[in-house]
Amino acid sequence: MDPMERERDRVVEGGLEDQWLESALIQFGKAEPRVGLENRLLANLRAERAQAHRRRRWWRALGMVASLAAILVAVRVEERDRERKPESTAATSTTNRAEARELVQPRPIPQIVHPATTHPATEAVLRRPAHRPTRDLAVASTPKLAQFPSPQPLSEQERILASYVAKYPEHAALVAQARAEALQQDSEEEAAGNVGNIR
Amino acid sequence: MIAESAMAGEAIALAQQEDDLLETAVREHARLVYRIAYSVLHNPADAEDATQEIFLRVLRYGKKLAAVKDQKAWLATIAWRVAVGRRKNTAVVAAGAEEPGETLASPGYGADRILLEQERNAVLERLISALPSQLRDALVLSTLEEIAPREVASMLGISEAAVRSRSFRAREILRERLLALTGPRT
Repeated sequence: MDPMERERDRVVEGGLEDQWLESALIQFGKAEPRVGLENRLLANLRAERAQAHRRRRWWRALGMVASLAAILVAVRVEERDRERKPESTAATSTTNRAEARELVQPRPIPQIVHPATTHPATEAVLRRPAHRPTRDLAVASTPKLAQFPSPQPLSEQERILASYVAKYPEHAALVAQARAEALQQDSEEEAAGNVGNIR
Repeated sequence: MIAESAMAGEAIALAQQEDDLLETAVREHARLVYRIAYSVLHNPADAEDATQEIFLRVLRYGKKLAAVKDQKAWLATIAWRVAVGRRKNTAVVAAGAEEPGETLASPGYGADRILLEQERNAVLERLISALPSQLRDALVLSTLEEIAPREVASMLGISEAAVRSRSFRAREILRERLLALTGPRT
């Protein structure tokens, strides 16, 4: 006989309290649910599954919308960057180039030529500047900007010049040409004057 | 295209298989799960809520349900854990809150007998609740006919012999306390 059954028998034989205890414990173990428990459970499970399915669909749709929005924002930012780049590149490149030319080019140094050393072979050597000005070299060797083109905005004068060129390109071209010619003429005259002085 | 439709068909078949498994589990073991929950919570409404929760957990378990070898023991363990967790979180409802004759009183008895039994059962529930948890758990699970001592042992993580001895000690304590309540018989 099973020890539990033996023990149960002993308890049942024990008396009224034992009998009552035993019957109550057996009743506890035989508690019956309300009718239709299985059907209620299944209905709830079906509802829960449908809800989970709906929730999953919503999350999927939400995810798609979010990713679409992210893509749109990225595209917009990229477009804006592209729109900005040519403007700033043009503006800064012109100013930078002009500045750089000015900085790197050595200033014309008055050439000292002794009358005794006016040999044509040595003339070229003598005309070369004896030494480059240190200040210019120092300025020219300034470190490159971390960002290119420079993010500095155009100055007032540059902006006026740019708008003038944009409005009257032909006239601006003519003015530029005239200015270039004048500069060339000046430099020629200067060169001629220098030669005269040397002689 | 063909591969996609085949995959969709496979997914539908898997979902159908899961549904069938779950329905079978509900049909076969819902009562056992309810009784385990009731044995811990001593309240029909709480026991039914716990049963719902247990099967919702099983639903979330999804595909793994097919891999479970002994569904009955597995469900009994889940039911036990959920019910014990609920018992910790909520105060046990007094047996007096139940409607007369709803659960434990046998049908066909007179009103006096029913009331007497209810009173006795309420006393017994209080006495069981007052037992040390180790003894109480072993006793409560041993009263369930559907669960073998081996399964009770695996649910509680102890040996079969320990289940028996704990159950015996719990009965002894209950008997002593009942005697103390009713007074010595002459």
